[in-house]
Amino acid sequence: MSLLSVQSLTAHYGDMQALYGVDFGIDAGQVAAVIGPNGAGKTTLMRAMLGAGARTAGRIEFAGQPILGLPPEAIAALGIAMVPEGRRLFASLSVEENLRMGESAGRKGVWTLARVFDLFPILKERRHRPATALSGGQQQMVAVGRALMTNPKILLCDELSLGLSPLVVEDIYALFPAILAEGMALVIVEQDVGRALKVATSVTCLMEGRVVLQGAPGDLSVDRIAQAYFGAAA
Amino acid sequence: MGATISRSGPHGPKIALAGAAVVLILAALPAFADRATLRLATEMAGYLTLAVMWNLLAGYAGVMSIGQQVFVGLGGYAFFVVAGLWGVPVFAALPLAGAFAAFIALPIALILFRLNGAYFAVATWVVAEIAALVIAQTYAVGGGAGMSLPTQVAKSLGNNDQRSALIWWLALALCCIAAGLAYLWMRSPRGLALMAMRDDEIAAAGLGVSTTRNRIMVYLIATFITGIAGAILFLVKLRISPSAAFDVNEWTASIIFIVVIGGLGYLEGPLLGVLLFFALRALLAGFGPWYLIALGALAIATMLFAPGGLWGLIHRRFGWEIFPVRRRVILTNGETP
Amino acid sequence: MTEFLNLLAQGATIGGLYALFAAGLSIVFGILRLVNLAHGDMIILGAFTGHVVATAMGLGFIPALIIAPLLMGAFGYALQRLLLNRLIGKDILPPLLVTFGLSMMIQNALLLVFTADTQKIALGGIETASVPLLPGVAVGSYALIVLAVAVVVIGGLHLLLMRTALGRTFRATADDAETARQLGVRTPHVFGLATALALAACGIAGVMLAVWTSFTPLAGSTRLLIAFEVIVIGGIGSIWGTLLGGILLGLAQAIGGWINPEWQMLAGHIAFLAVLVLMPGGLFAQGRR
Repeated sequence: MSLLSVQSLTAHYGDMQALYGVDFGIDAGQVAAVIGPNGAGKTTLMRAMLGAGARTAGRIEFAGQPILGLPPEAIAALGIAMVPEGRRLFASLSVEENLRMGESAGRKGVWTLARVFDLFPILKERRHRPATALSGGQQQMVAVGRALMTNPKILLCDELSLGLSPLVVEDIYALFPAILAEGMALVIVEQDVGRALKVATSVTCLMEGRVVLQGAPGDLSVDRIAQAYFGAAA
Repeated sequence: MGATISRSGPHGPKIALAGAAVVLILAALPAFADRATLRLATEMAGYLTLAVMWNLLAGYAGVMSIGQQVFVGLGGYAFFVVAGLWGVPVFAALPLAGAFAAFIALPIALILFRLNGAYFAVATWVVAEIAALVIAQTYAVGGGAGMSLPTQVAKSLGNNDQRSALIWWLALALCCIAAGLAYLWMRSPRGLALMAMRDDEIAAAGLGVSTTRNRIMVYLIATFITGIAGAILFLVKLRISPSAAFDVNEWTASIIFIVVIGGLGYLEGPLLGVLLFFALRALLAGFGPWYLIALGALAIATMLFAPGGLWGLIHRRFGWEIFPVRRRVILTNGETP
Repeated sequence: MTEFLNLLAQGATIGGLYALFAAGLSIVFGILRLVNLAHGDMIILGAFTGHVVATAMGLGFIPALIIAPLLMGAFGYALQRLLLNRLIGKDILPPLLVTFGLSMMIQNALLLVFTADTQKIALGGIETASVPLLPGVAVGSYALIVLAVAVVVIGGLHLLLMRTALGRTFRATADDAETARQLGVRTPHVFGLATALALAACGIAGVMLAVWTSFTPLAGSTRLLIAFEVIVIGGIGSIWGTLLGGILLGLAQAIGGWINPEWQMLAGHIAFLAVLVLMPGGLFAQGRR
């Protein structure tokens, strides 16, 4: 049984359907990459796992418990956290206060303020600055740290590298082993397919709300992914 | 496959005929109703006019004012000054009263329209308080005690029966004009723009809809009509005072409840709301505060469970529409789009 | 000259009362982005609650000052969870209309229970005593007590917002409620606590008002307008600004009343409009504390 499994998930925004029967699963210690062009439904899928966003139907099970329909705060308390696209830091809170908001989930674990500061020493230095006064990369560290502070079993990362310089992205991805070492599962949504394939243990490619390709990165050739992307195989 | 866009429902001509018949019957009211009934009917027409205008502002233009009493009061006072003190004939004094209200509304709009919704609402109330305080300090119009309409003005409208009939016709005519204006405005391109900005101001602005200019225009129309309605309502009473003229409960709270319970954002809503409001008032008048508690609770329940009000429920259940302002796509070969 | 100085002293000290009126409105707007049109009636409800505890039950002023905010806070929490939470959204019309209806219900319920008679809490002479500041210039002792209570309440709110986990959650929820929920914040509960806090502040404001002057069930709308003017003058979203705004409004009224006793309220309204006209920029910079 997977840690998290999604079965025949559909999602609607008003009259517009965003997902058509998506299946997806992940186990502890794995990194699942969700790739696909803009508008394929990647973010919708992620937000559905958090109980947010579109109107959804189907089945989502987390550690054997159905969670579809639970409010986001209940899902957060069960152990799913997200690093949202665009970071969405709290503008009137300092760096430290932003991180401490992760304590709201009420989950004790290895990730404490001190541990996050070990991971991102620069944040400790700037802990009293307003979070939005930091550079883009540092803000992304706050967003990751804030999600880690909820001590999740699954961490969802939406477009981590968006708007960041390649060097900064490199730094952030370099932290993955330290995060995975704690037995966490990671779901990453990435535009940068090459980067996603490098770290992922499984890849799901979405196109127009449907899964068009799923498997281990070793089994999927770049050609097949390109075909899935550009629809040549269909 | 083709399609045409139509606003009138299948029964458009029949409804127009029925409406004309109702107005004609109402116009003949003085032939068989006594003075007290006429007075009540006049009051109802006045409230309906105010409600139609408030609905136009809040339900269609997204302008939430809780200070409309300022224009009722200013219209009433302007009428008493123009007709009572200056001796201008009643029929000329009424539009002048409306014009005065709209004239005062322009600077108010220019200052307050920069505020976002909730601030605008409370600020309009503050403006009404200012107007009431200033009028109470103006001794030419009687200060805090107010003034009576000189008897020669009342007499210029004939004897008691003639006057009651005449004022009723004026109130009915104004009510028809208000409903007609609101209907035509909502069917015009500007009206469509208004609805677009009510639904999504930023998107409408992105499409080049000038939200502020359209809002100011509709605000001026609404205040003009509201001012005339105020003049007629105080012409009935023959007496005006700051506390009565600028009463937030009478001229705004009641009107809001009429619109909300009847159906915010439906032209038919205020009509239903006025009937219900006066029925409740007649039934519950003996119960004092209970009546207003019930009204408040009814309005809250309406907002929570049926935001479209009574007419919204009827419209959804039966698809009825007296004033079709929504455009509908009619497919000529019967296929679904 | 001493007459003018006296007026200024009075104007400044009534600012404390006005700041108390505004504190609850400022909390509700700051955290829930909602203007509570029943706010003035909540203050009057607080005044009646205090009056019942202090006079009808005979427990006196201090117990009233403790019990009224507690009861009002509990009422606020229930009101938010049961009614107002259903209205939180992008459309501003439903919360405005519902709180307007609530205002009418509270006013008339108070009329039903307490009639339209004026009420007052007597404090054994302190309310009429005064303290000399300069030769010939004095302020009321009770006005100074109110000012001190206002400073304590506003200082306490500031500490709560800036120094506690709950305050941090309030600010985060005000910034971005959706993201806060995804981190595990139970926003309906948090909104309930915010309204509880706001109505507790109304309870304190009501009890202080009940000693200051006599009141009736219909006295709320004036207090709503004052509270609203205070938060606009003092700068929206600034908790210390409510104290400053209260004092400025009190001074404007005192100066207006000095020119002509009938102009006291008018001067306050006009000062508010002047701020709106001259500093509209301040109005749009909402919510950042």
